[in-house]
Amino acid sequence: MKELMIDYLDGNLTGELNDFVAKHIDKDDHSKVEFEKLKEVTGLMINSQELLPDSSLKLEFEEMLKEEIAKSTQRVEAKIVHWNSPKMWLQIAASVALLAVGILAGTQIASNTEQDEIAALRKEMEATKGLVLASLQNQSASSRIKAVNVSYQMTIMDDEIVDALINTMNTDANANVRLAAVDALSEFADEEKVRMALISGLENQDRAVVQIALINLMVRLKENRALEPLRKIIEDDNSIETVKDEAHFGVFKLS
Amino acid sequence: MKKMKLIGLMTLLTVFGLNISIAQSNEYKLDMSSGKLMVKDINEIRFEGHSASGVIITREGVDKETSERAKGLKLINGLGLEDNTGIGLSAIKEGGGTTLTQISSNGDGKYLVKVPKGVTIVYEHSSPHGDDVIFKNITGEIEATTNHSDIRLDNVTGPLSINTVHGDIEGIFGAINQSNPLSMVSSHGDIDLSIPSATKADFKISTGWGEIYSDLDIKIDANQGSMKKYGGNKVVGKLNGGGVSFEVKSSHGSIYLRKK
Repeated sequence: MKELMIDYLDGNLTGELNDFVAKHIDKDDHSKVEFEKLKEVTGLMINSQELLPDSSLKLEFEEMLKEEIAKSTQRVEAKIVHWNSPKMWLQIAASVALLAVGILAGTQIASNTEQDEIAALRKEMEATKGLVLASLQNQSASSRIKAVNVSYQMTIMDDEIVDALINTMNTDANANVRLAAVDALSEFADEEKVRMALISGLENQDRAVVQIALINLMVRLKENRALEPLRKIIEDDNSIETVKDEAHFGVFKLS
Repeated sequence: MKKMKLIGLMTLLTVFGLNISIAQSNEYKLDMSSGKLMVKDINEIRFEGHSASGVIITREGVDKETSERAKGLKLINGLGLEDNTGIGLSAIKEGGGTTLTQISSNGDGKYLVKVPKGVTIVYEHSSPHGDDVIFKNITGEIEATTNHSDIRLDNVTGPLSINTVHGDIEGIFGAINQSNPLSMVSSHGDIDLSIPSATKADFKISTGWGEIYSDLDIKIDANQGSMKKYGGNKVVGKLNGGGVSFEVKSSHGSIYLRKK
């Protein structure tokens, strides 16, 4: 019944079945409560799909850094105005100013090196990224595998790289390269975008070796959104027998 | 006496057979020293590395079907390809590489392909018929995809990307090339490899439902993947401090890694 309710919620039911479920929910108080819960959960799921993996964290940090630097320069200017104060305060002001300038200069140097480091890191990331994206077009399959391996040594998953890996998984001429991409993507399987790509990769896939690996991955991830594509594989006359067998197994494990 | 006659007859036949093969020329030479040699759907084939120049293809099985009627005609097939090598194969040059396809629908030819060092071999076999494909003494890059055929490697160095749905992969490695990864995948077959014990490599070995056996001194990185382990059996580790990426995967078969 729960499954039917989910289908009902998603608007997948038609005709008699739709009416039946509607009546069932309306009649039975227990069902009503369950239905409300399901509604809430699916609502949450839809919302969480919209929460795309966030790469803006680093940008925010840089923004903060810039603000901090701007503030500190303002403060130095402020101290300079105090030079016109009475003699008595002058020395104190001078020493304070000197101290402040010293501290500020120190922190500024520190933030400069920090910024340099970030810039260097960023440069390195961009270079690695460029290398990965270019190498994924290489003529040699082993070079493309190498590129995929480099890509997931990068700690921050980059959208462009993810897209390139998804493309590799679905279209590369060599199945070993496609599998390397599946492996790399499965490291980030908790990110919704990657997860959805892996699920839809099941259907788009025309290499048995890769399909079998993807089905096994879905079973391990306990991803029951894969049931639909798995059923499609079973019904498709073009699917080869081994893949159908694997899909049957997947459906058995996931439902 | 009867035995003597038989031996005599056999000798005669051998000499006669040999003469015919020389007359027909079962050899075809491709003038290439780099690029990709793509070979599609040849049922019985072995590749061997050689130090001479060019790719030399030899047909070993004598074509019994060639009749008088076929004289002066060319073997053609539905893909629009024709036998332009004289040994039952179509050879087409494209984009820095050459594609070889078997034309005979009987596919009973047996081929030996000698390959120089700089040439990358790309072998694809999708038919359920066919024998093992063998790669021997190859120091260049190998890409191989089969559906049912076993893949055997004898004294190869990598780089390689090999995958098969039902076939086994068996390999004896020479000194492994450190430049680019080696990747071997079978969905249903076993993978059995002998690797020189001095090899520097980063291993990634996994099976979905099989087992992993080894007597190599692989330093297993026990923490690797512990956060993201979703089941199955996965071993990540280094041999001799690590080196080239060496990936071995089977969904349903077992994996055997032996010290050579």
